[in-house]
Amino acid sequence: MLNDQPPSRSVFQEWIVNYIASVIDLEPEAIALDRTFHDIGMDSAEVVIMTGVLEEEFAIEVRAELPFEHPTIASFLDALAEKKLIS
Amino acid sequence: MSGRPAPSISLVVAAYQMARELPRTLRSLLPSYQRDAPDLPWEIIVVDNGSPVPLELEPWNEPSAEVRLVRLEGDGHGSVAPALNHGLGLARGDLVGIWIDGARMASPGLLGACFRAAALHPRAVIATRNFHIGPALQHSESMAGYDQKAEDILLASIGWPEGADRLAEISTPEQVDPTGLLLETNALFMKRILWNELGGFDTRFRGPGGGATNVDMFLRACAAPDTQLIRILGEGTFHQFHGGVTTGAGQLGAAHLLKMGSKQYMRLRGRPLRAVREIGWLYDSRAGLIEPPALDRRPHG
Repeated sequence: MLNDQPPSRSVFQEWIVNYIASVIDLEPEAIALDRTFHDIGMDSAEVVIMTGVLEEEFAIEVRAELPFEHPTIASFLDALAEKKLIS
Repeated sequence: MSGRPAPSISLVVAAYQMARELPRTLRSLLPSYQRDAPDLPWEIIVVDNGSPVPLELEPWNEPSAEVRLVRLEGDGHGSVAPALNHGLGLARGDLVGIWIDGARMASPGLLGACFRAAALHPRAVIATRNFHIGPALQHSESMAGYDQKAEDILLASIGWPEGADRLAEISTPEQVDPTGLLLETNALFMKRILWNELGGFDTRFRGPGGGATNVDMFLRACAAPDTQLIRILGEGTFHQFHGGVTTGAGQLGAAHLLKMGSKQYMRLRGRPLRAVREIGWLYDSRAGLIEPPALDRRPHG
């Protein structure tokens, strides 16, 4: 997904919810945006791996520690928006 | 090699600039250290992956184990995969255990446990637990100041090698839950025919520590048709502190390396890297096979 424009928040949110759901074998509807990655069931290594996958998927750069500093999907999206990595 | 019977087990150990650590690792793999090991000959193939000062072997005098050293030229930073494949090509045993990191010494029941576990399934993929010597993982912030001297003191405190049964007391497991998420294993055992069927390590994975080559190897083995993951409990490999690529990188550095491995895997395999969540079978070195958990097969990417 190589675009000049950063992905929209909704696109990114849908991607990350589906990604996590597939990793932990849950329905996307069961993934709450305000729960921490850890509480959702993601191991810390899986969270780091996710940053690598999303870098490849969206052609952006994300520090590996960013999802630990912003440990929910919602706060992670906020951080990415603040850095203008999503619109 | 004259007069020696063909080995039943081959151990391939990759090493780069480990003059301090390698002798301990090799010591831990010899028959005089490995209790409950099969009464069968085995061989240890050390592959020096281009150390600037070539590694040397101490003379061992244990007739049932043959130790060989081969050297590959190179800077050692490109990839460990060719070194491992070279060792794999030299291996003659039916069962082959591969050490991607020659700085990891074994617990004294490891080899026997892996040998017995391998007999439980014709296509067993045998994973062993990874530990770091020290009170925390060696790349963690709390380990600032920990050095080789501190490690020597720790090993002396349990009287290693005679006190090798106590290694876990002075070490920290990489995975707290031995049945939890598994990304890789330092000592991976499979039948040689299965290693060859899988084509060994993928040399396209490059970078510090070999990139994701070890992870990729393990995932491919677990995903191969009709293979059975068997996790060894009660034994493990123990990483000695040597400023290695991952353990010397610090916490952020280790996370960065994992992220880079994830990117590399995505590029080469075209799908996200997924750690193994299946429990598989559990083989305890003292209790034997623990009843295989139900629903132990899950997709792992």
